[in-house]
Amino acid sequence: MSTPRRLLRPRSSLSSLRTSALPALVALAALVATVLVVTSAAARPGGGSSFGGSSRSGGGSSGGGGGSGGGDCTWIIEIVVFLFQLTFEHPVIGVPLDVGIIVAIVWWVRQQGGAKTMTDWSSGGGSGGAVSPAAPVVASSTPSRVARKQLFLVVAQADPGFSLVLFEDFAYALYAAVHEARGRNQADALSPYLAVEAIGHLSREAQGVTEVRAIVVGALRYLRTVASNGARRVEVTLEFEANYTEIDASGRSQSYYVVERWTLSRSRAARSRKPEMARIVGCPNCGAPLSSVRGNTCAYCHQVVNTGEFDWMVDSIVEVEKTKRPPQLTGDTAEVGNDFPTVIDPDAQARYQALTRRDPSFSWQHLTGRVALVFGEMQVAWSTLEWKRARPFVSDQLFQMLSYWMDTYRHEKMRNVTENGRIMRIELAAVISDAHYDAVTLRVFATSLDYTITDGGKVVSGSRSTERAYTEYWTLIRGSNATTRAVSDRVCPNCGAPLDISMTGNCTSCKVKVTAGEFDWVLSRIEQDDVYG
Amino acid sequence: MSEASFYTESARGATRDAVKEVEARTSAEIVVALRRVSGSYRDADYLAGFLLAIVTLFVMLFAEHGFPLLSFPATMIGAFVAGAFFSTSVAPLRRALTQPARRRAQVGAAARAAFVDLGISRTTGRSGVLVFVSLLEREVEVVADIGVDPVLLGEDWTRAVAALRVSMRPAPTFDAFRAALLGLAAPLEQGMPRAADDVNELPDEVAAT
Repeated sequence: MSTPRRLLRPRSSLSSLRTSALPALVALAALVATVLVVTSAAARPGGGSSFGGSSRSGGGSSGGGGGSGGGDCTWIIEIVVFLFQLTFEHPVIGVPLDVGIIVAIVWWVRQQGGAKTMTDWSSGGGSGGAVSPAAPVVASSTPSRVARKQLFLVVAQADPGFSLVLFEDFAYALYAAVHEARGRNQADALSPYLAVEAIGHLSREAQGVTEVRAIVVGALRYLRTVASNGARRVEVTLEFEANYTEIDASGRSQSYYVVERWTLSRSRAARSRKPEMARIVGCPNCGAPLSSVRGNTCAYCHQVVNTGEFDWMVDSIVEVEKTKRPPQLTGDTAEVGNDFPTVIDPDAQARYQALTRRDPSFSWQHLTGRVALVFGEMQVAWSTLEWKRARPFVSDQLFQMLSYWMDTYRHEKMRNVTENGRIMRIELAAVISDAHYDAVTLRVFATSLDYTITDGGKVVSGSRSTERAYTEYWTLIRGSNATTRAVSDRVCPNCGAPLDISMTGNCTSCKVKVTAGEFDWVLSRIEQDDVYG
Repeated sequence: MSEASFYTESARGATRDAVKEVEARTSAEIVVALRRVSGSYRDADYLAGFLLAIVTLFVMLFAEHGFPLLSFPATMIGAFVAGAFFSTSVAPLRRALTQPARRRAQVGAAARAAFVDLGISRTTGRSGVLVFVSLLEREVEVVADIGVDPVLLGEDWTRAVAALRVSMRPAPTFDAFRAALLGLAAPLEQGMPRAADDVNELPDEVAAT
């Protein structure tokens, strides 16, 4: 909305008008009263038709205005008096002279001030009231990677222990917990994490639903990061793209594809959780089970915990899309963004160098070797629907998403096959290092045969003969304390046993969780070109 | 007049360069707005007219020369109008006839209005800072968006803002103002350091408004 230019000009508001008018009216009233007094005094016996000077009549001088004393200013007064006399006794001469003198004085004053060139100005575009079109629209035009990085920079400034990886783990866990609670119509049990507005939305969405399950987040995008409330709070808007299944009272299940925008905020004074607590949705302060929260107060730590002072709180949930559609497994979609220039973070090289200084065993060769290993194993796992092959190389969240799709294909008696997959080149895009994790984003250029077949072998989409080139942004994470050389062989990075990972990501030999990045690089995010840029 | 130095092309260019220099060190976005005056002050003009009329009355009453009786009303009115008109062009007279607190409040209100009109809030991080200069009042008002936390920026920021106001006293000089403007860089850099991928969301170019 452009604002009328007139608002930029000084003008009297209603209150100032009242303020300025009153003294003026008083002044005018005093002036009129003075004139009336003078006029009535002239009507007194002896006042005569002229009045001026002292009380003398016909001569002499007394009182002020005469030549007695005060000689420094006498000539000025005499000139002024002369002008007045000239004005009224010889108005043909006096009036134009008076006007000319006043105009000359005003002109001189304005010339001294350079009035002709004194045009108000401003930087910032100075578009005369209209908002500069160069100023970006907040939220929808901010790339996810930018808003994500802004969140890191803003929060980590006051909270050095903040980690984007752990924040996303928490976000995923909270999303699942909230919808599960919604299914039980117990969203208010999560009141330490949900503002009233959010609880209201969830309660409305819980109508007729008895259970929500199979919650899978397919994508998480950052829309906006803002420091609000005098920068005492940080606010971030996330967009979740997910699938879940609702069960109604009669037992019928319905799967939905949803897009939701969640706005979370937290006090900048809050401190991040330890990594092992990242996915636990308990008391925001002490981590006790949510059942210990009575009203808004935790029975263990006795703190009021629904204020966002200790942890992230969901201020609002906006449902962008909710459709009853099964996942789209077929259909030929053209690749978009292959020819886009690689979006490279300006800090990428410097941070990469810092990573190599911290871990001398870290090298581009080993990193790309790890990527090649992950790529190869994922191709096979995806094509054969064998999740075990991919499990050691992907984070929990990514594995959950992959599993969902694998299960969906299996349920539909189809497989999406990739053959002859190979990486053509890899480019460094970004590096973020926080208190707990290093995250390296690479742009992977690859090609492969890509087609979907039924269990009977019929090709329902894609091509068995024409390769498809594509690019994706892969983000790999590793614990910041890890210095182990990137391993290309299929062995446990902890115990060295042949790689055999359970569903939960633990090595079946040493029982240690090896898929959270503590030991080696694991794939955490896959983003398409049109989303990343 | 020192105020005139703010309106030269070199002043505009120097302001643009100073803004760039500050923004090179911080994620905050700086906008400088210059106004000749931030209020109407019509009442001060009326007061000036009234005072001139009173002076004229006394002159006519006690001067040696006699004046026709009927000349008094016209002379009074003429003096009132002349005094009011004269006051509109003489800033020191307007300042003398208004209270400092009233002038500061006027500038504060105009600054906040300019904050909206110039779109200072249209930054991703709500990191806009408006430096509003009003020459008649000899006041500088700094209006920061919610992403700029004065508490976080500390005493250095408070001193830097105070230095901007001092640059207008006893008379505004552009060089002093420019130096004070550059003085914002240090506290902003400390509290809001510039990231390598910061985008200049509010143009630095100076234009008439």
